[in-house]
Amino acid sequence: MKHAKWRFPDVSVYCGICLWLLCGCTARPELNALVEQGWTAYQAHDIETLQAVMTTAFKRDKRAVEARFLRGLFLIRSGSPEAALVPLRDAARAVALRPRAVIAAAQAYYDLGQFHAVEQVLNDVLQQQPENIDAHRLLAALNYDLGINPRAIHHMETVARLDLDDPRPHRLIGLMRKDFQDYPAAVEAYRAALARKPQPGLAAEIRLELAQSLVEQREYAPALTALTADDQSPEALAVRMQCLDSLDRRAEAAPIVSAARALTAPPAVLCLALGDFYESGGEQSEAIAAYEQAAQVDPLDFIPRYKLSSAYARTGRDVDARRELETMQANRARYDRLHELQNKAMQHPEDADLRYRIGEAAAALGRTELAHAWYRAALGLDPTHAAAQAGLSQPENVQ
Amino acid sequence: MSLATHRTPHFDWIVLTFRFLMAIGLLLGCTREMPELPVNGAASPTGRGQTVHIQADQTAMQSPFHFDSVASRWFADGIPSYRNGEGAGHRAILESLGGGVGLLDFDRDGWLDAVFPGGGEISAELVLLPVPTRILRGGTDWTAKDVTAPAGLVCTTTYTHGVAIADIDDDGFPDLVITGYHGLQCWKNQGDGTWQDAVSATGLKADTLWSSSAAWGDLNHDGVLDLYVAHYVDWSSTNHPFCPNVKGERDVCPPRQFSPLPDEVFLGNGDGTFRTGRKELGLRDDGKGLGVLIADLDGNDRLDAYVANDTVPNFFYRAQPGGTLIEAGMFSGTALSDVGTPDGSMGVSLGDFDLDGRPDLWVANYERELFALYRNLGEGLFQHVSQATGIGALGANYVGFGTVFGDWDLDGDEDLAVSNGHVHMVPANAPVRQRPLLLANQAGRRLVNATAGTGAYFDEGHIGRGLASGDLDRDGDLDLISTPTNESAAVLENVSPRQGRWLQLALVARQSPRDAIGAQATLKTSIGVRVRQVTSGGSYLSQSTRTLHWGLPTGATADWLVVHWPSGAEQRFAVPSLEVEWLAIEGRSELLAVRP
Repeated sequence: MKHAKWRFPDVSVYCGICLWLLCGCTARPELNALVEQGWTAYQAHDIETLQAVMTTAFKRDKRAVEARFLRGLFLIRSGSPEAALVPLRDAARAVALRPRAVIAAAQAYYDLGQFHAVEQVLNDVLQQQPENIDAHRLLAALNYDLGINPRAIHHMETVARLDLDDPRPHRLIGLMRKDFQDYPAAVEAYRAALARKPQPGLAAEIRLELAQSLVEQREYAPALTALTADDQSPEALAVRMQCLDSLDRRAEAAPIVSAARALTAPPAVLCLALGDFYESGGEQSEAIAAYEQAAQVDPLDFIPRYKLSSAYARTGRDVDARRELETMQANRARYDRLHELQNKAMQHPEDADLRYRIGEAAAALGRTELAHAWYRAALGLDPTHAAAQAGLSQPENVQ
Repeated sequence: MSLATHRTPHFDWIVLTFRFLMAIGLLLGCTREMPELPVNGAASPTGRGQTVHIQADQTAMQSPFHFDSVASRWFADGIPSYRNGEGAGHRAILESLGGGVGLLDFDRDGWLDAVFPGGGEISAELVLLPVPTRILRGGTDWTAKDVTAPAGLVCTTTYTHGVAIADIDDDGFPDLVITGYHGLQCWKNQGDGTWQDAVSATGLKADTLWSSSAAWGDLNHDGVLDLYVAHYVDWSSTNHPFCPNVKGERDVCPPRQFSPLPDEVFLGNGDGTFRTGRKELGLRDDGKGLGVLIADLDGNDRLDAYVANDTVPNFFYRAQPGGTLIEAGMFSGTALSDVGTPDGSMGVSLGDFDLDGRPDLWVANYERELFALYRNLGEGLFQHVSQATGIGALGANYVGFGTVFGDWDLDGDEDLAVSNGHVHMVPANAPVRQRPLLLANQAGRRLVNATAGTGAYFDEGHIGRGLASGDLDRDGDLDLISTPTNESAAVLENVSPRQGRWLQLALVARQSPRDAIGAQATLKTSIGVRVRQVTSGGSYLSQSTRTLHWGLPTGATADWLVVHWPSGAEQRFAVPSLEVEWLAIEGRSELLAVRP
């Protein structure tokens, strides 16, 4: 793919100055204020405010570069990134607007899946402004999408350093660490995120993820205290059940078990936790029922299958046990392939076909949304990848 | 010994969660939810390079155990120290295995003696330079004499790891096999304090692969001892890739970097020689074996073999009537973790944790993995009960190796000891040197960390590897010997406050090989039956005493001992008194007192 070039010869600066003179100096302060409002609304995904600001700017001066800039932002947020590129290119000629216009253009390229262009544009930005926070944010997203986690984390760490109030970079680092089972680092990141005092909703999410990481670290008592008291989500119930069981405080888990059983469509993770809880209490038939439900909810996961196989074997259902063991091994093999390819992706940042194959591996596990993300990554590196295009045409089916 | 980064995660689907977040633009400049709050310098994450201490166990208890370090007394002739050659800086996976210890009474004087493989040094050119094995003769009042030189037990060809002990020629004196890189050593005990190199004469020289643990037992049920040899991976000086640690420096490669080496079984011919029998018995060739235990795990009077493999499923070879083995790990529930993933398994031990009369399996694993307690359900089926028995509360940072069951406080149930220590020079999250663990069995229901305050050795970190138990001072309780890497071996005298009395039983088989491996002794007491089994191998690269040991809580009485011999014969003995080491000889109707 041909890389997009963002070069700003001196003539563009000259043109920008002329344009600024033509538009009239009197309107400029007001337009500048609108640009600020629009940029804030753009960052907040507040499309209504953005549209209103853009409309005001066009009313003020329909030829103003500021109005075109705002139009570019609006087009991005309204899902027309390709159309946004034209006004943004115009806006980039204005010196004052150029950094934001370039960042917004990079976003448009990102939305278009043109990853090489995004990288090129943002690297240019970082050459001039090494600490441009928006560039680092976008590069973090880009590298994550390409499966290059170390680079994504590097950019996110920079974002965290540049914006000391924002809890989200650490939270996202935590998620990436957790995804790759680096639980100590995940715990560290989540705690750093919480120290930045996120809003209650986000804080609860971070606390749950922290608790899940602590459970993986077998730190059950801290996991229990990490959870927000009023978090009754199925995932939080699962964490509490596991912790109380491990800490030999099963009696305290009774209301949690009741709450879990009352759910009409519990996720697989809660079914598994229930099964484990029953199994640890010697309630074999209840355990089997919970594992069966987990396998039903997530038929391609290997863990419920393994649990079921073991439970069937223990209760003399040898045929069922062997069947589940076979299914488990088949699921496990698919899973191992996905994991192996994902690890490989970090070493091969430019390999579009590898990303397509990861998509295929995810699709084989029924994770079509994940598969689509990888197909998009493949197409981001090679827009002509026909198999990835075909993969994207398959409907998503979120597990 | 898997590297965590090479481990397969339990739940990959969370990847999806993150991608959702990315898709909705959280990362890409949404309004911050809480920008108005000042930071005040908070929350810079701690560096990953910092030492991460193993977290306090959430259910740790006041310990009923205490062990004194008495190595300097026992080793008056100098304390053995296993060398791994790490000084040359090669960071070879070979360096990570460490060495074990074997306890035996080679001179039949009643006092336990000990064999310590020396390991080796490694030259700058990656040439292995063996360090001699040492043998110490135990005696009264914590004295031991180094008898390596007069014994003639000198070998200069192998970089050594483990010990397997059995009386392979049925002459009443235990013989030795030493494992290591470049093959096995076999030493026949002459009965006069000297040893004869028998590796060629026995045919064991045929084994040239890198061996870790080995164990003896009559696996094909033909009345002759066989030797199971676990082989590890295909590392060599020419297959020595660069594997960076978190600092980007060369470190020990994970086992996934290498191909497995097939285990071997040497089948006894009955004339003192052995033949290779891996195909005859039907062994798999995809293990990365580190620990081996031979015992009757399914109660069918035939010896089974359990192999603790590193990063691949563990093997459970069940003996079949035709003298073959069937690998039944998966179906039995002993091959994998509780979520169906292979562990990095190293050490293994057998004990009746839950006091139900069936021996349970205990497996020491790599960091972030649960040490596995597989409860024996009978008929060759096991249940992973680590979570339910409190093992999870140990935390996720221990890298477990040598491990033994033993009733340290004589309260009637079997507790556990585990040697821990990392395999990497710069681990990502856990310390290199790790404290050993003592786990108290709470009446067969839970295992609780009871390590704190049990003695100086347990208060410090070590690169723990081998571990064996035996009554070294003949005072009736079980002592421990630990062999950490590049550190003096530790001799740990059990001085735990006694919760009861003891009984020991040595067994001599007559209708099967005399070590009576697989014999099960059931002590019928006023508080229920207490079962012990004579096993071979176990722990890690080590062999504990084969004399069976029971603790009985104060007030409990023992009435009968029922011995189920490997031949299938069963004998019932009255127990004349406790606090005695008894000897049962197959076919003799009475117990003989070895010592009061």
